[in-house]
Amino acid sequence: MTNMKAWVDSAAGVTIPARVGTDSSAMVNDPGRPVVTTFSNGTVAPATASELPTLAVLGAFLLLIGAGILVSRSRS
Amino acid sequence: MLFRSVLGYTLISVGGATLAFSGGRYAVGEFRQAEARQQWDQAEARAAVALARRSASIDGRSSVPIVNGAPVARLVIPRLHLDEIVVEGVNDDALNAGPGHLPGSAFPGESGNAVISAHRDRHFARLGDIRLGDTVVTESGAVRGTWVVISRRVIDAHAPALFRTKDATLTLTTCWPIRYMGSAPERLLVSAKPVGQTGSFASVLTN
Repeated sequence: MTNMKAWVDSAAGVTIPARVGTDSSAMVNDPGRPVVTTFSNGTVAPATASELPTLAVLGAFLLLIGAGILVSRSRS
Repeated sequence: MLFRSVLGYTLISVGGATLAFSGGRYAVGEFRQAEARQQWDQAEARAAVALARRSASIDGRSSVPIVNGAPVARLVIPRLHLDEIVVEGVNDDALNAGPGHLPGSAFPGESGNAVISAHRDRHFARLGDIRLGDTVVTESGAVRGTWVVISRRVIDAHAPALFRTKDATLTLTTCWPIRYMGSAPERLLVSAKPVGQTGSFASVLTN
């Protein structure tokens, strides 16, 4: 059966708050960790981890390595 | 020789694209935050939040959903020189634009737990310096509230962190450690209790 949680909640008389945004049970790139998009009691903190700093450093690193290779090639 | 040329140009291309992507996301975030601040400064944004809150206070749940990315509050921490417009939602786009109000949690000043989250490398970059007793000011709809920080704790990213409260509570969250490359394994949780409030739902309801 799909959507088991909604069925159990409705059977138990639990009111499910209206959701704005994506499904809170959707998965992110961290397998097994749900994306928290709505508040519920006992939920984990929202995933505020950003990959942008890592990408920026990685990009700069690759750029420097590439430039270094080209410079060393032109000198040899 | 040819291999080194190809490798060099490939690395430069990939590195440049990666840098451009991350820089572009930062630039879009800055633009969205400026846009949210402009909207917040206009009366319409405050009126929309007040309307949604009035609806929520009447029937217990909001019948006027606030769309993701809409400005919903202003958050100021004077000692940290932090002054941000909070937007609705905690998805990627919302958090790129500013601190995000977790949908379903209370708005600052309402009874209940108001949860605001932001990236540690962006809008909450200085949150790690917050101390117990620091003052936090929020403005949401017609309510301007003053809060005092009562707890500051670091927990595992997978641990239950957010709970319903009867009294008005403000919870700020971000990733921890603040300076960490990659996906941070922990979360910083800052809790604050109200010490003063100007404006009220009553004033909203009668207007």
